[in-house]
Amino acid sequence: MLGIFKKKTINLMMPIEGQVIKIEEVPDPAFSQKMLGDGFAIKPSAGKVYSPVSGKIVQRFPTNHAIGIESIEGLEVLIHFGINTVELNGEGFKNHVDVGDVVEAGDLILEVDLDYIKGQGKSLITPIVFTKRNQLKEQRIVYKEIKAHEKCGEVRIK
Amino acid sequence: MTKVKIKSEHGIHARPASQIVNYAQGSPCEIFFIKDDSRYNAKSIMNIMGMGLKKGDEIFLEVIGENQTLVEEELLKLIESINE
Repeated sequence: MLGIFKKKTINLMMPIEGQVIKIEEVPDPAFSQKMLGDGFAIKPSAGKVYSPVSGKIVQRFPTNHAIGIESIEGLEVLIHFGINTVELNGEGFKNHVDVGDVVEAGDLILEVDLDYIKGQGKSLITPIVFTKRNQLKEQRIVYKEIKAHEKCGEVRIK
Repeated sequence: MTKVKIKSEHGIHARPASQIVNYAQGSPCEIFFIKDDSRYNAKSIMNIMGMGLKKGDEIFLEVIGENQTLVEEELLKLIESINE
């Protein structure tokens, strides 16, 4: 069949309730300049983080503020909660997954104490990055207030 | 192979990882970080962040390809210049 033109479109489920913003608006050049990849960001209004895709947890930074997921289609997604939140050394973060865990889109993966993070002077803005080089063909993101578990966009990968 | 000790306060989190990966992706060489007998591709953000490198961790750099010694030196300098 036309296997060489096989397109993979992956739906993205809103991982955190809040406002979806452009990745260029993230107050950290490593993200806003897409050094880690393209994607989008969320201004959270709640502290529960759910997996945006079905797949597997492939990384979890020791301080629990960053989680990497590989979707069943092979899409790599990095959820990086907040800016400079590595400096909190894990305080305010309650992890729910381990590397290797299989997750369904919508599964709870992390719980964050928003008040604590804000109290420590850290931005809550959370980049969601597609980190695999040259994987992304197109991303279509809905830039508005979205509830957790609703569709917030889709990506097409090679 | 060159041994490196991570000296940056918060280890190799997203920002320093992006600097390392961007450098590695720009090189035609194959570049790996080695820790505890596991090899991690330095061209992959997930691989490098997945190592969860903290201050005090020791790794080896492995570079394969043309000008590998120079690339190893440049990468070593880059890692040692991370100060956050």
